[in-house]
Amino acid sequence: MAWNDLAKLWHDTTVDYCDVCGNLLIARFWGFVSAATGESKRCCDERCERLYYRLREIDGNAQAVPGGISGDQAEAKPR
Amino acid sequence: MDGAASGGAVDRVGLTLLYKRLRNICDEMAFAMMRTAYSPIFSEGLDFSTLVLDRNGRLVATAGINPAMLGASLYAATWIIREVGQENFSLGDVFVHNDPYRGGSHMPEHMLVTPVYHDGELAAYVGNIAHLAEIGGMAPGSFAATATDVFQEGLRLPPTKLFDRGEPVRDVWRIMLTNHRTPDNTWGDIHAMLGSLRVGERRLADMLSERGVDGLNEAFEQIIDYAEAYMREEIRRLPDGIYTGEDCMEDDGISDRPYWIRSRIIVDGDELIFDYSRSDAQAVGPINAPYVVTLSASLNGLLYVLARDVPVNAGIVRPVRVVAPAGTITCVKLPGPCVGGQTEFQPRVMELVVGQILSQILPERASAASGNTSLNFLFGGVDPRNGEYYAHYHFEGMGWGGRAESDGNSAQIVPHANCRNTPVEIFETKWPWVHENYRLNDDSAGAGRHRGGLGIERILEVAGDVITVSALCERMKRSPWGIFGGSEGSRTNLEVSPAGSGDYRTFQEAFGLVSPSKFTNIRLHRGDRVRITSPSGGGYGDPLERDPYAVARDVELGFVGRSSARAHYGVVIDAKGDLDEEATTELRGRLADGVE
Repeated sequence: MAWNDLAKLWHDTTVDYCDVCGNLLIARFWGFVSAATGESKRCCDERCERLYYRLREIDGNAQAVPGGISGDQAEAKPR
Repeated sequence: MDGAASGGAVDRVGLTLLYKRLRNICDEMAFAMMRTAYSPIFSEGLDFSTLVLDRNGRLVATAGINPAMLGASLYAATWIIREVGQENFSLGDVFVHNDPYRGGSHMPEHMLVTPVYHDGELAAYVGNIAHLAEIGGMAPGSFAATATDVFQEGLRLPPTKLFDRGEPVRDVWRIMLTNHRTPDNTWGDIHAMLGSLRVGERRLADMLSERGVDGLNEAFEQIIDYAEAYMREEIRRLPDGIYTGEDCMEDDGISDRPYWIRSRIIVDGDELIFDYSRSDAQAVGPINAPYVVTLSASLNGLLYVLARDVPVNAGIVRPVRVVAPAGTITCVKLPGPCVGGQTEFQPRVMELVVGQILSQILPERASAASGNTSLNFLFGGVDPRNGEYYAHYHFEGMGWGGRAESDGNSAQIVPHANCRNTPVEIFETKWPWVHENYRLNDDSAGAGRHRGGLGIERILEVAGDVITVSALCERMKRSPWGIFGGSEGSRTNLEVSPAGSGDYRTFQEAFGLVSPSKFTNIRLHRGDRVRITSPSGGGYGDPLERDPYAVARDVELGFVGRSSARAHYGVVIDAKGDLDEEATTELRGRLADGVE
């Protein structure tokens, strides 16, 4: 995992997107290899790498219920 | 001088005063633009935002004009600076940008940004984003509802210098003015934007004289940190969990199929994730959203429910992550078209977040669906009165959804946009249309403990030889939904009647179109009529719980018909127009028992 330059020629007007969140990548990207799939990922920053693993963790451990709160996370905090 | 000593941390009172002052700068920038613009979409519609940004391009304050531009306001300037390189900015430079793949919301909305210096040192930026009424492309008004790529939507500008050290970059101006159908309007509107920037520069110069560059930026940081802390505290109060919902765009103008937006919100301590990764792949037609539009929709939904008083700046997004994979309808990839994403997709997602997802946690802050379309109606041609080309982008008011504490508003622009529609007088003064009718669409709102707001009906007659019209709207196939037992609102309708005929048919029927709500470049002729019926809002709560006197009042005002009062609300109005309490109690009892 490291920062990488996203060097482009001046006449290259294409754009690149974060593999995790979809946001725009400009000038540089944070690269990492997924420990789960072995795929190389280009993302915004370290936060996106953490987000990637957090989403995998959630999908592995929590079942979303349409219209409701998932499983053991349903304990409400007082407002 | 507000609050604390120059260069130091600002106390809470000082911070509030400083933030209010920044908001006032943004408001003053907005008024300057409103008063000096050429196009009604600026001067009447208020389809713009004004921004104060720190020396890194992060949003510090914005006027409360158009929340639809929030995502672009948060990111576009930062990205311009990163792409151009901060070292390449100079005093007097102004950059223009409308690229939806680089932080723009859709191409008609142009961002101008200029650096502010103090004693030769870069201190901040001021910027604005505004919707130019015409930027070329395949349809007058630049809302090509049947576009299949971005190149049909108008002239796309990556970050480009419009002024270089105070001097206009004439080649850029000439390219823009050559490719827009109404260059005089572009010239006037962009100069209104430039004037707005000058106002912001002058006011910031006063603050810089008081605090210096570092002092002011430290205060900016405090304001941003405060907004972050505020958001984290609000999110922390929510129960952790995963909440899901979905809604769809009815069609994309190219094929007759819905496109589904599937969202889950993950509340995780003091952070919150909006995950749209299960949404449909991007559409062929222009209903796709750039990333910043999905971000705007998510944040606007969150702010509506959670944090209506938070300072809107870069801090609000720190505890929030939006996952919108490129290539889905929630993050369009080049060259996908996207002009309708800002006006149709964004309100759909915002209300999905508010009414279907966050309502599970905070029902008292939720609302039913509004008409939920900007009902974009575009037209252009040559005005027979002066021989000049004209074009206009009109959006229509409709009914908002009922909410916990009140009925929905009537005849108002979509909740995410805060804009105003085009007055009849402007229509008839500036363009060859005559109004036959413009009124509330009575007896159309979704019933509920708090009913939806009413849409409108507008009938326009063509007063020139020929006029080219286009439309991009929604809610012609699916009604605005009610919540907690409230009823659906009514749908959009767009109809046409040939000259001399009293019969109205949908544009789809009359012209053999794929979509009833999205079409481009239909030529109408003198005497033809267009009838626009905007949707009404859905209802909130059981209609039988509505105060019967409120129903009687609605009947008196014509908002609800007598038969609807009886059928939906169980309210009986006697021959004199008064509430019959006894009959109402009896009827409501029967309706509640399901025997009526």
